[in-house]
Amino acid sequence: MEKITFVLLVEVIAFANALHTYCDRCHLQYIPYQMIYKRALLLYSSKRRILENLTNFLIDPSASKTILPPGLRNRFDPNEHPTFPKSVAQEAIKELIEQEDLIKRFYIPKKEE
Amino acid sequence: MFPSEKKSFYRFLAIYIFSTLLLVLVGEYFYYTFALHKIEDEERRELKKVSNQILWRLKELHQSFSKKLEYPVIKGFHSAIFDIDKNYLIGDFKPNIPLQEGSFIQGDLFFLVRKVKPHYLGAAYLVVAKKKDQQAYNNLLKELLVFTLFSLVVIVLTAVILGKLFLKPLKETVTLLDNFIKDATHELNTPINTIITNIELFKEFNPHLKEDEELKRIEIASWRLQKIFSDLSFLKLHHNIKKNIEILEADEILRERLLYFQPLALSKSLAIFSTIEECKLEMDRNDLETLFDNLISNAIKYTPPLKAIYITLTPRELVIRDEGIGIDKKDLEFITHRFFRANKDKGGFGLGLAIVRKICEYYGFELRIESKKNRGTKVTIRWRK
Ligand code: HEC
Repeated sequence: MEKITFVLLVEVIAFANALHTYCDRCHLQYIPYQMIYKRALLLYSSKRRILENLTNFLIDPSASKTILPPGLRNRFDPNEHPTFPKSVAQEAIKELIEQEDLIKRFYIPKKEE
Repeated sequence: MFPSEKKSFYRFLAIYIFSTLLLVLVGEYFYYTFALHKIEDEERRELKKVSNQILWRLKELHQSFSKKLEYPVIKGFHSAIFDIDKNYLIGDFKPNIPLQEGSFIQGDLFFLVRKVKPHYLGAAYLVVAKKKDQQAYNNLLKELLVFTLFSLVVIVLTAVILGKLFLKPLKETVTLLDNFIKDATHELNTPINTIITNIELFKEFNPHLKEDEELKRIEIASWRLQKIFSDLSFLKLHHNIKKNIEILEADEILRERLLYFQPLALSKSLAIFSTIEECKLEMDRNDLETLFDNLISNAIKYTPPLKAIYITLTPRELVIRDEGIGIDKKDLEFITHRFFRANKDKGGFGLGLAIVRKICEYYGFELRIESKKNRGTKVTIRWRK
């Protein structure tokens, strides 16, 4: 009974601001989103693949799925990362992608002809 | 140059020029593809350089922490990046091309597509493009055009010189032959005339021998000799004397020639029926007379006494029909071609018809000979119009 309530609660909040709700408390401190996003971009390239792979990691974190470079991997153990249900993970990653999108920050300088 | 010589000379020129030009063009084709590759290689090299520059900038941008990121725009070039799912990310143009590694030309742009790994900024493909170096292509074409024109001049010059060189010995041989014929006919002229005159004198002084078979044979033989002599003279003249082409009243000339042959026809008791319409022809007078003479004398020669010869001249054609001995079907084909094989055993037409054929060929007349053994021969010459 308790479990069901929890899940329902999670579901409700999940769609509000998952990243802020579930992730900020650790990530703003230890490991910035931007770093994770850039790392993910480097490896996965497209948003679709980033979403897919990072969600997979959050559902079932393991060292084999980590995208972090060896230096960071040794400092924080990816196996210890909190696990999240799929819906939360997906929403949080979507928000992360939206928030950290690098392309949005681009501008094209005027061409001097 | 004689007409036939001119013809073969031009033919030689054409074949030589055509084949050499073909060779030049094949060579040019290979040069063209080679040069094209070179231009493309140069363009590719440039694009590659620029793409390296852009990649370097992308890497720097990826690592940058600034709020605003300036896309690297390089003057004279366009570039864009795509993610691994082939979604357009950013660039200073948005090309619509297949994302396959390599280079290609589309429209007036030369494209280079490179795979990017690691995916800085998420880029999996970098597309770089530049305007085709039209100047280089134009220069190449100009170069080829100049070369073609130049080789054409050289080829034509060489052809003319070579042609003259090759024709020289031929010309000399012909001249030699002509001179020989001229000398020979000149030398023959006097004895033949002496024989013929003396036969006449002999008959005059010895009336009782007038009908002598042996004497007649001598007379016939010498007349034949005279004919061969005049034919040979024609050959010589045909080559050397410049033709004097004018508009001739063919009907008048034909009447003259018929008058000339009247005694001969009378002596064989032949009737000549002629229908002569006004007819103007553009040709050399000597040739027309030779044409008429050969046809009329042949008709008289091969028609037995008391038979008839029919001559029709119209603005369209000349028809001479006799009731003579005719020509064998198998000989008909060869009769006009037996130029130097005049064979007395085979019809005995001598050079007469061959000369007629020569003249017809020269003026483009259509010559037709129909014949039935022992029924007669019909020669038709259709003037070309
Ligand atoms: C308890 C603190 C904590 C919370 C809560 C947390 N993270 Fe993390 N996260 C970490 C640490 C520490 C790392 C670095 C070590 C690692 O990879 O696990 C990390 C790494 C990650 C990575 C990189 C994983 C890899 O190694 O490939 C992602 C992606 C990530 N977090 C996303 C999230 C999201 C999304 C949430 C919220 C739904 C979240 N994290 C919540 C602490 C946390």
